[in-house]
Amino acid sequence: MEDNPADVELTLHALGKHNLANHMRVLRDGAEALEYLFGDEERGVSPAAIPPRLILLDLKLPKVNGIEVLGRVKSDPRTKSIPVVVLTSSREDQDLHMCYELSVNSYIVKPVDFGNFTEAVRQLGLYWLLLNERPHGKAQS
Amino acid sequence: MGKHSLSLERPVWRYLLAVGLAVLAQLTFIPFEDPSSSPLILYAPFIVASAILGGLGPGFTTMGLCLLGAIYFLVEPIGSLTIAQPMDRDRLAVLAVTGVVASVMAEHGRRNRERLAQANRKMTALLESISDGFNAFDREWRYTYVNTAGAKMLGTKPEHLVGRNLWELWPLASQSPFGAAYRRAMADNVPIQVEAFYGEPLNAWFEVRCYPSAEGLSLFYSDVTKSRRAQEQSRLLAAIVEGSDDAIISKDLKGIIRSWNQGAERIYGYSAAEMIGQPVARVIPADHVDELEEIMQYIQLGRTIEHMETERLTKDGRRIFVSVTISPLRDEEGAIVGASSIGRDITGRKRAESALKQSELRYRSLVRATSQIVWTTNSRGEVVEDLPAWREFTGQSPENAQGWGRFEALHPDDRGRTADAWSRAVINHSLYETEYRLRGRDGEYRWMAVHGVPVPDEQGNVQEWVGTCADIHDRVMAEEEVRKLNQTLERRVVERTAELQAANKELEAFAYSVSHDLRAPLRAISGFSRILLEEHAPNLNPEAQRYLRIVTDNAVQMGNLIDGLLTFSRLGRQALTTRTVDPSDMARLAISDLAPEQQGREVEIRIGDLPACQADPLLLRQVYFNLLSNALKYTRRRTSACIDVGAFLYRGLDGQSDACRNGAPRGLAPEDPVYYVRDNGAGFDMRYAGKLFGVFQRLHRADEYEGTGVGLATVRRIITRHGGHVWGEGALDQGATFYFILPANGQAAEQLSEEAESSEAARSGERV
Repeated sequence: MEDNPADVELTLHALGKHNLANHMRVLRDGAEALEYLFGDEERGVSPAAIPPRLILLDLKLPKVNGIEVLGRVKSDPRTKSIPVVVLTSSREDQDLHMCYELSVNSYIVKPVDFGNFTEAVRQLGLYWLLLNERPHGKAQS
Repeated sequence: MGKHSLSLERPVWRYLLAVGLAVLAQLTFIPFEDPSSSPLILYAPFIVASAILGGLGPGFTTMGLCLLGAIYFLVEPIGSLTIAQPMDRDRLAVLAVTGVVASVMAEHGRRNRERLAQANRKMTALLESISDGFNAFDREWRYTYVNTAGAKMLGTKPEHLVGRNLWELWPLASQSPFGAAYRRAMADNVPIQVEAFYGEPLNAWFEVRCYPSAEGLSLFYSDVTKSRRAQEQSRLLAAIVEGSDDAIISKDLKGIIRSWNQGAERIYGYSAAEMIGQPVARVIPADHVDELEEIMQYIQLGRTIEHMETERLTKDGRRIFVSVTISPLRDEEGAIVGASSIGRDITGRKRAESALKQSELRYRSLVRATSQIVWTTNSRGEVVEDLPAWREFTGQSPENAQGWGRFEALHPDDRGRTADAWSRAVINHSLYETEYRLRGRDGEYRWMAVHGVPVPDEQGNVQEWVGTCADIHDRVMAEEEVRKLNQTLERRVVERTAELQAANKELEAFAYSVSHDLRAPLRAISGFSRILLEEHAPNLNPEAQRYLRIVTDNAVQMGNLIDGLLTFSRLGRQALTTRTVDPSDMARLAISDLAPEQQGREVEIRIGDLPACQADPLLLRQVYFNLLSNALKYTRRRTSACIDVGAFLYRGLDGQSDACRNGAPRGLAPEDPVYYVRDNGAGFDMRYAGKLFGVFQRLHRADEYEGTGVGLATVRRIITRHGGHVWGEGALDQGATFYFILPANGQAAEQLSEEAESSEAARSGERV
């Protein structure tokens, strides 16, 4: 979930470079993100059939901000076990604390340097998507 | 001895008696019928009687007459004075011889008797004439003789005593020293003298001399009560004189000392032996010698000099003050023979008086000299003396100021509380301190600072009060002015603080947005430039590639700048959590954080003995990180980098290196630890030392040493937030040292330091 197209592209680029960008879904704001994850009964939208294996979350999202999204994800039994990596420009302690309070799995400050950025994205992609084992059954429920 | 014997002392009577006896003898022979046969010897008794009674002359007279009578009347021829018969001649001769012998013998006896009587009369006259008492006792202790004086001493008459028994008359005598002495004198036959007191009914002292004799005992005695009493009296007087602390001296009219008591010894230092017989002038100072003559003149007039205060000289040469009373001494006839003087050492009193006078004088001078109003009251807090200074200021009349009237001159608003304060002080004997407005002559009130103290007497009771009123009007007005200004200032500070806080809030919001919004485009610039370079390089000529690299580098640099700025701004907002920290631990952690920087270099980092401090551990670690990072950076061109992390105790300006002279804060106290990080790197020019700690301030070009210019600014921000101080010292190419101190109580000065920081930040606006 990222509103900045440049960051989206760079992230996808970085993941793609390491063949990790196969099934990426980009959501542009917090509301969209929540709708995707939990559906919207009023508008007759149902939650995503297959829950994501990893959420990369920017904090400064329009409409509903990243912290709120994280809170919803981590408090809902359906999505609780999805690893969430906060990928943000904010190095503010207050944000960091809040995220860990809400059981974020990783908190990564986006480096300005593209090399570093690519490397960071690659590592977290590798780790969370390929190395990290998570309970499959629970995610389905 | 009777009257009869006394009458015969005259001769005429004796001879008349002799004639009478002769006639009587003649008549005895008339009865005889035959006178011639009458026994002539019968005349003899008459002759003897006459001789015995009248002596030799009358004896012979009687004898002659008897012989003539016998011849005429009894011898033949009767009626004539012739003797016819020899027998008669013999008879008459026998008679004559008998008469002569009897007369001679009688005369002798008579003379003896007369001598004895004479002696007795003399003795009695003697005993009666003496003033001593005289008693004679026989061996059975009966009074045989008491003279009149003796009887008088015993309170009786001689006739009441004579014949009476001593022990019966004087029952106490038996047990007294007198009885013992009498018995011993009698028994041992020795004269004894005794002096003792005899109680009731005489109650007197007697001196008795006992003389034993064959007949018994004779006593001479006298009543010594008076002299005894006198002796006691004089002993008592002597004791008083000796025991006196005063110098009691007697001298004759020439001024020669006759007596010198212990008091005199003490006061003058001379012993009695040294002074008796010496002129009294010895103790009189040369400039007082005239006194002596004057005194003696007075004395000779029979006058007494009382309590004369003068000076005298002691043995050791000290001058002392004495008070002397001198009286004339008279002999028994009342003639003045000398003088007695009683002197008291009053040097102490004189000194005290002089000190008192001095003190009084000083007090008076002070009162005159001071610009303050001096006032006095009695112990009850009432003004009783005239207070000229008070009147001068207030214009009150002396009567108006009396008692508590002076409070009338106070500002009406101050009267009540002043009267209360004054009453409290007077009751509690406590210090009186207050301030009030006092009305001057011109009706203007002026503020006075008032102080009063109780003056105690020797017993500690308050004797009076002394106090002052100091004019503090100008000061009070100035203070009022200052207070008003302060109020204004405080209000303005509050306003400014609010403005500053608002500005800070804005800055925070700005920083937050910088953190997000400025970094995102940078990331895009950097990211896509890199993608171009990495994936589309073949389509770009070398010039374009170089430009792209410059774009990338600058984007990265700007990212760093933003990061530094964010760190810096975050420090201003973060709460401090100070605790006791070992700075060397923080330094070690920082060094390990900086391990990459040391890679491939020869770097020696020495960590000295660092005293513990009160600090936020994370921030202190940041300080060491920044300082060490700087040190590593600027020693990069040294083949062997040398970095010292240390501390020393501040010893005061004299004991320190130049470092502390250049930049040490004024408040630095001895024994405060000063921490430092020293390197042997590029150093800096001290001329620009003031710019070291400014944000984005750099003393080196970016192509020499990269950097953002926030590292030292961050260090200073952390240190000042702790209430500490940081300063640097260095020289170009000779290394740099950064010192910092942290107060013992880190948080106390936080607010203060923020103000200091903002002012410093305001000053360092210039860029290099």
